[in-house]
Amino acid sequence: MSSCGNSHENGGESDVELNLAPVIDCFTVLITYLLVSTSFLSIEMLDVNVTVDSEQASNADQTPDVTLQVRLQDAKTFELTVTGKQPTTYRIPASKNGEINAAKLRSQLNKVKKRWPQLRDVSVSADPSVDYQDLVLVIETVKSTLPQITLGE
Amino acid sequence: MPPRKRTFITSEEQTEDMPLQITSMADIFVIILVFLLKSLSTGIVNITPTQGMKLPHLTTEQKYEFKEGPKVEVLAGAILVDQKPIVRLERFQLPNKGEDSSQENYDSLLKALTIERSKQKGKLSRNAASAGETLLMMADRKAPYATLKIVMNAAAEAGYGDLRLVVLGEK
Repeated sequence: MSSCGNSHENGGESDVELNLAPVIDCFTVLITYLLVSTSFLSIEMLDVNVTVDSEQASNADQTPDVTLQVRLQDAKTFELTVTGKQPTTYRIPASKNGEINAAKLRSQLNKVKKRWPQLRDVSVSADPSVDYQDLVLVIETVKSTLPQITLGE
Repeated sequence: MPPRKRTFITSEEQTEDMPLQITSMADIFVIILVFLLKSLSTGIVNITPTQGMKLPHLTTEQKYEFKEGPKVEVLAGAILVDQKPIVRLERFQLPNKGEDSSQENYDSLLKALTIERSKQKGKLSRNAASAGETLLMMADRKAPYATLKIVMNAAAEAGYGDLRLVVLGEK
């Protein structure tokens, strides 16, 4: 922004000075309005797949060699079940303060991914009383390692 | 040695008028204004959760792809499809009035989702292979998985394969 506040006296021309005070007034009102109305939270979308039982049955012959199921339980513990030629189950307890141990889940998922690199899809499920917030946290953690998530029973 | 006091009062009184230099202030205001206008969310997808709903929030700053689709909302008192109440809930649970009532609720939810899907298919391009497969789900962070599962089952049966969970992220 440039200022026209300097005065020039050239051959009898009068001084012209831009009055910025009303501009400042407008800016103050605009900025106050924007500060009040702006939200510093954004909306995000987590994409997940859903399947019906009939679809699962029809795709039974296309089942991949290795599948992983992550189940969140009431006590904020996890059960990771790998099915296939080498079925394995891992259990992850809750953290010391009784919350979901997302770091442990992430490291376990990385280990599973390293052991079975062909693993693409993961099925996430939870006990009926598990809160949606906890489910979102699990989906977010799993997505960082395995992006294709199907919500299951 | 005591510190020397600094004062702005000069010994001589100023006789000339001192105009306030507001040019720099105007510059600062322009910068703030541009920043605030930029941070205003102006997306194509218009998502406004119903009042009273507390969406779950993400813990990381990951960005996900946005898609348009019908909206289903799970509140403490009802399940809404396109902001119309379809199923009544009691503290996020279906009212315990027997199996017939549960089936009736599920059927009405399925019907509402199917109607919305056909509407959406008409709106979107006919060439798009995945037209009408996306459903946006907004649920309160306290909603139990059992209730969400009912919605997800109805969505899958209505033909929505791509479910988008609407959550809050940090800007």
